[in-house]
Amino acid sequence: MNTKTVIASLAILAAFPALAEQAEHRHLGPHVHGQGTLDIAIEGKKIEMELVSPGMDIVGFEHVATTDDQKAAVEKAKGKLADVLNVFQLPAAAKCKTETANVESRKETHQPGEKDDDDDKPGEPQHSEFHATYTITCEAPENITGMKTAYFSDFAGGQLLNVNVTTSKGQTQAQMTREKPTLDLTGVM
Amino acid sequence: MMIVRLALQSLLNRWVTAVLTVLAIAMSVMLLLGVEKVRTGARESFADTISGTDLIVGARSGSLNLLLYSVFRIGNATNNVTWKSYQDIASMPEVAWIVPLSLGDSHHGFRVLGTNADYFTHYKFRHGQSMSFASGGPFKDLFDAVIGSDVAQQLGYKVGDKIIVAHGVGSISFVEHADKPFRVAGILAKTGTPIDRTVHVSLEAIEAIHIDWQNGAPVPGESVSADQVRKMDLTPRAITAAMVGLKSKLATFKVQRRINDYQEEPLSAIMPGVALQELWGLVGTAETALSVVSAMVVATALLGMVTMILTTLNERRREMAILRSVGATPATVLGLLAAEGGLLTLAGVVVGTVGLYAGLWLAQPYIDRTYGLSLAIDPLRPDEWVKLASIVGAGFLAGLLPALRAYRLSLADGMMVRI
Repeated sequence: MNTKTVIASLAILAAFPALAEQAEHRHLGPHVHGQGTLDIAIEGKKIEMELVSPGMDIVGFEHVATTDDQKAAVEKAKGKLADVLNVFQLPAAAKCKTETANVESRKETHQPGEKDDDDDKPGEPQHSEFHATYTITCEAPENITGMKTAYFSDFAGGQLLNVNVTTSKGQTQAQMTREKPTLDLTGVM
Repeated sequence: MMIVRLALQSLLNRWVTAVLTVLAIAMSVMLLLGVEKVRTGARESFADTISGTDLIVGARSGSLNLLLYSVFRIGNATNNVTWKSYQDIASMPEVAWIVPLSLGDSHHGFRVLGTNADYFTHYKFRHGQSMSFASGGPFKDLFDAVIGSDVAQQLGYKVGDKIIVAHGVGSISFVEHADKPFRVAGILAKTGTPIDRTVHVSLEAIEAIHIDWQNGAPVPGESVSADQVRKMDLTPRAITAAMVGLKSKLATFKVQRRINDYQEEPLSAIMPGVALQELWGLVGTAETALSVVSAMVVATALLGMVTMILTTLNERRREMAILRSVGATPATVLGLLAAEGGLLTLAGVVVGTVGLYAGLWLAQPYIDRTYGLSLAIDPLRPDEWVKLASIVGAGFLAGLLPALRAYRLSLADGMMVRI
């Protein structure tokens, strides 16, 4: 190995940390049409829920809404999702009421909490998601034996919701589907 | 009832074949119920292994893989977690406690787990039960080890014994950490979980026994004695996984997402209960296959019974003819044979169920000891009653097959004796 090669390889080696520093952090979660995720955390009288669904399932398109019809569809869907106790019905005996309901539609690449920039090119194909967070309080949480959902009748594109549940009694995972839009929570309540 | 009595008497006359048929049905019923018992027992044993842990954190991988290697000591980690990331997670405001897990060494085939003393207080199993010490206590010295009850029993260890940890996880190892022996400081009470088969040491000890090693082997001439190592910095560089408990369950998903999105290192945070459900989803197919096979065995046993009744039918023409001669209608003959099928199946079901419970009662301690599988001796569940009832119903219906044949025969050749 002559001196030139050594110097060259040293130069290349030296360049690497610099490259690593410049490298952007690339990270993308899964995105499956027809499948949404619902996380439910219950502690005491408080319930926190989070729903993430592909735009395809909710409004039937994933590009930025351009026409009036599309914009109206997004707004209507957001309105429906905001009425959480109608979309995810809890037993009446639990006496639940909504504290907060936050629905946004965003590009999938956004990090949670990151502000949605509106410089998306209209009509450009991309994956977008509906993201809803809810806080609910229930006076009699011991009566929460299960949940019924209107999600599938409200949104024609939804086929499956993967539900993750955590309570002080334990954790579980279940599926709600178009055929079986119910969730049994007796094991963890 | 007249018909039932006649059927019983007739069966008594052919008791050898009858007993064999009953046994065949009994075995099939035992298998059918037994498969269900083992299935629920296995599920409960798995579910009982970890409780009270909100998240398990490891290197980025599938949730099942992480759950299996961190909790059940099945398989191996894809990567390690750096100590820095561990500390970052530990300092999150939502985290109530965090217990590090470091795997990779073994002792006579039992896994060695590096952890800290919090492990013994925070690790819960079987609906929040804590570990307890059968003798001794948690580690106080650098080279103290706490062993599970199976380790103590199978290797005959007691508190104060010296043990040598081997490098790697094979049951026979060629490289041992012989220069730094451990002292058994405590023996844990039986838990029925993988803890029983684990040797616990402190994280610092894991670091200490590897301090003079390079590339997975000791460096000749550079050995650091056990006394020298005590004075060195033993902060671990990496761990295999960590168990996390949160202050509030409501934060679970938030913390999980934050760890999964952690920029500095690709990590995975999983909810053990959720990962277990995924596991059931996977093994569900195999379980269904097992149930189908056991249902087939029941069907085969019933078929055997039909064959038995059919083959004896020819010999029993005289019996039928005599019955007809004393005034039995063809319908009575039909009822008689159907009752025979029903009775045989009922006997089989009863013997099978009793046999299963007797077997469970006898074998349960052994199965628990050797496989860590606690099979519950519960009364029959409603769906099991339904299964058993439908087997008896099916037996009765299967009995109709030879019965119909006898009915036709008794009409045709009634009293007529052919020469």
